[in-house]
Amino acid sequence: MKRFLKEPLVRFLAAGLGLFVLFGVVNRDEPDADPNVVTVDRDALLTFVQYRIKAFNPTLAEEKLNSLSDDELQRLIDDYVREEVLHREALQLGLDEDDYVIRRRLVQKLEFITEGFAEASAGVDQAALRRYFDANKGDYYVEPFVTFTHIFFETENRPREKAHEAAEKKLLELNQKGVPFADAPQHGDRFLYHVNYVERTPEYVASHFGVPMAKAVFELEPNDFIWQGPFDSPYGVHLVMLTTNEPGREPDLSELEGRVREDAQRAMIREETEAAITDIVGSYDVRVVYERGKAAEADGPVNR
Amino acid sequence: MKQLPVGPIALVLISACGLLAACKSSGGPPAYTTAAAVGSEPSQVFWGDTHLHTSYSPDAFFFGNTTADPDTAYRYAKGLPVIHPYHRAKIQIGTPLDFLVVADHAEMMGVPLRLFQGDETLTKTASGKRFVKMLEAGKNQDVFFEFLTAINENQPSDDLNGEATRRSVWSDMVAITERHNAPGRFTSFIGWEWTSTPQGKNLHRVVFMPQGGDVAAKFIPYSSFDSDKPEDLWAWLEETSSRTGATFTAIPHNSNISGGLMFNDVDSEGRPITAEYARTRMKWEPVIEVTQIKGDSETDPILSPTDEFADFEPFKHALDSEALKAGHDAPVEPGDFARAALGRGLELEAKVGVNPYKFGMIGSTDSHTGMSSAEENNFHGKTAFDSTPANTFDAFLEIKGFGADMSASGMAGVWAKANDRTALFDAFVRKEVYATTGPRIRVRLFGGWGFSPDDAGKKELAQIGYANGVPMGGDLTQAPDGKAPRFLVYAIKGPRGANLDRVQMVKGWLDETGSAREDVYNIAWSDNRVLHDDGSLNPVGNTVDLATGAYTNKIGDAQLSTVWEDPEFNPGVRAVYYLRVLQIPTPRHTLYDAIALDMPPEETGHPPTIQERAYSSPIWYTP
Repeated sequence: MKRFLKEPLVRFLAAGLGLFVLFGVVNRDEPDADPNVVTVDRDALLTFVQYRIKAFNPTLAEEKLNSLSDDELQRLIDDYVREEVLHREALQLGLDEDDYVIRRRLVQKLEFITEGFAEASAGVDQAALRRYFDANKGDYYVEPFVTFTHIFFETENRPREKAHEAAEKKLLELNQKGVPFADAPQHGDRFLYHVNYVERTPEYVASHFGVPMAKAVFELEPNDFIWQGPFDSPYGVHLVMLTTNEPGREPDLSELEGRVREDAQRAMIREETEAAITDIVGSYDVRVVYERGKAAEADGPVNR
Repeated sequence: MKQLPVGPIALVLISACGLLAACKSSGGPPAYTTAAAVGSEPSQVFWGDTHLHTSYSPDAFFFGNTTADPDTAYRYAKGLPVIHPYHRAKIQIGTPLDFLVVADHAEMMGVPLRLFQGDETLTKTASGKRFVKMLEAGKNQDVFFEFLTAINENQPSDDLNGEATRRSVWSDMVAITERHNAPGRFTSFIGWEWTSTPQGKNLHRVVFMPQGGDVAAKFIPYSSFDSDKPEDLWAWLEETSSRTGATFTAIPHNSNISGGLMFNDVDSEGRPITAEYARTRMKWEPVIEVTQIKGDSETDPILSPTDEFADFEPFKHALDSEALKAGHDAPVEPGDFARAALGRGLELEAKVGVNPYKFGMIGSTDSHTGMSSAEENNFHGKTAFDSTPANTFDAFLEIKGFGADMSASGMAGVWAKANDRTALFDAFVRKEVYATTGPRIRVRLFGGWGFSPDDAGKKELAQIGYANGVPMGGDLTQAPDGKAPRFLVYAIKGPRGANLDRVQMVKGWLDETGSAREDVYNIAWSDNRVLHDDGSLNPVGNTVDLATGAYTNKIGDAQLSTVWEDPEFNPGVRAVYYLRVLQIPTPRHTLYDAIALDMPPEETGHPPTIQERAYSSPIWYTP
């Protein structure tokens, strides 16, 4: 048991909460030097109570223990003794050896506990949050976006140059009359998709108008009074009134603190869990004596 | 909308920079911004998936999804990059969704996940210990079959199905769903799947609701352990609805493997369908899921022998665990497919006065990876396991069934005024929703008596449709003397998608013997093809390069619209009409896999290309 609880893990657990107490108890000096003596002391019962109530909280366990009636206390003691004795017998019979289920279970449990501790200790303070945000700014980049409306001249039923002519003529009329944004639907032909595009990204605009027109639109200056164009899309010719053109930007931490905090916490848990396991593995002296291609017989028997 | 100031200022600006396209202002932030609504149209289409499983679903967990939980699912749907639960690479959706229902199986929801994580309330139970042992010995398949059998036969391990566990998992699910709801931008719905599979026959329903966590906290999802009869589910929905204020919609799906039970002509006890049954069913189940990864349920060549496009993505592997092991195929029954059910609905309505199968149709994925992926070129598997090219062609457990047998499918298009829980849910209730097999094809359908042929080309087509007719999901009746119904139809390719081949009208009607009949009409098509005398069209062609997986939009049309009048209308006969819109052929996901594996496409055992499609919800005519 002591060998199992190598230093780094204990240090790691010590940073955590209640379970450390539990491991401390399990790891205490054996009070029963004689294997045939079972000493039921306060520590033993407190540990047992914590297992029973599935909450590793010494204060709670103490309250529980103190609240037991004489009958209940006797039953708890009987249960503890029964479990302790059968456990010792099982160990003595070597039932724990070569049991892969127990082995995997123990490994899993430790992984889970390690992660649990990482989780518990992964309170992200403001400085850590800032560090994480600075290191991962790319993940939070806000795409450029535009808001515009457009008037469409189809090229399915007329040649493109005719559509251009119609568009140029309409452009003059629109700007002379000062036709506003909201009146766009009253002009031109039916477009497949939308009339108004509100806060749309380059990729979105490109998917509706093709890449060349999207590029041209994103180069326009916002202007609430001027119709601009014409522009060519795969479907026809367009006149555009663009009112917003926001460049892409890296947002302030304050704008998305919740999301960054969640991400930072997740990352921290992953890191701490891996670091803890690396620490544990690192405290062992690992000697790889296996050599590829060498028959087992040449090394002598591999199994004990 | 704000009225823009026009006049002198505008004129000054015009004279200052002329009418040049690239007129630049003096820099700095714009002096004015305009608040503008997106649509000049009365409704917009919103895209989503009502049927997505995560690591909380026991079967998803055993098929390799141990990490993509509901949170991951929402992040993927919103367009954020996520880690795939099987191959661990970073993946991202092509076009984000507008809404999502994470609908994990109510039966043992979250139990294998928590067992594996070492939740001691589960690992210390007798069943928990046994399962942990089996998992640790690598017997995932056996555990899967035990869970599947337990769920199918309604024999849960009671010690793993305690109320405390169910409540705790549900409250996690509800909390995550609530966190991701952002009205106006992205809608998350609270929901689950009721997984009834009597004798291996699929009667599954997804249930979802527009209310929030405060209401969802008042119940634990109804599961097939409570009952495997849909009538009992509806009774529970009724009772829970009046107790908690929740309004639910239940969506039947995978009728294709229901052994004829999903749209049967008798109830669960084998009694004839009654008006009461029909009313109750229609109250809770206004919409069905007609297409998804595990096959298309519109129709089958056996039921529609003259429909040249009926043989589309069939999935015939039964869900019965014994049949799965033995490799039995599911038989084809009329109660399995939507088209036959719409006809049967007319028959039953003529007999009992109420139509139990007057449903709208949507698609959804039923993906078990936590990724709502319905894109053939960006498909992440039905299960986490079959997400890699090699695994796609590898045996799916020991059973007959391969990732390659399924295709990336299932989207729900919803016509609504806003992207929020109430607006979207209401659209389901009035059936103004439709299905696609993945692409974002926009489909408008209005039925009425007075549409004129040139309405199809008008800019205000949608306004005309709503003003002079009913949208999909609606009813026509009382045909004016000498008039046949006219349908105003507009189909548009997805912005990033392939062109359209044709629009078809599928009509179901009752003949003089009271039996349902069906017809399929080509009503709009691309490339100025000429309709043959028998009503058929030449195929649109196929541009897919089998060596590269590339295709072009040089064939097909970006949009198709028409006004179609039923040439064989009989005002005295019940009828139902829905659209089927076909895309030009595009690569099936197995072609991309074959190319990636440098494997001849014919060795995949599947056609290299498919014609993706959309199905509108129907419009009914009742004399």
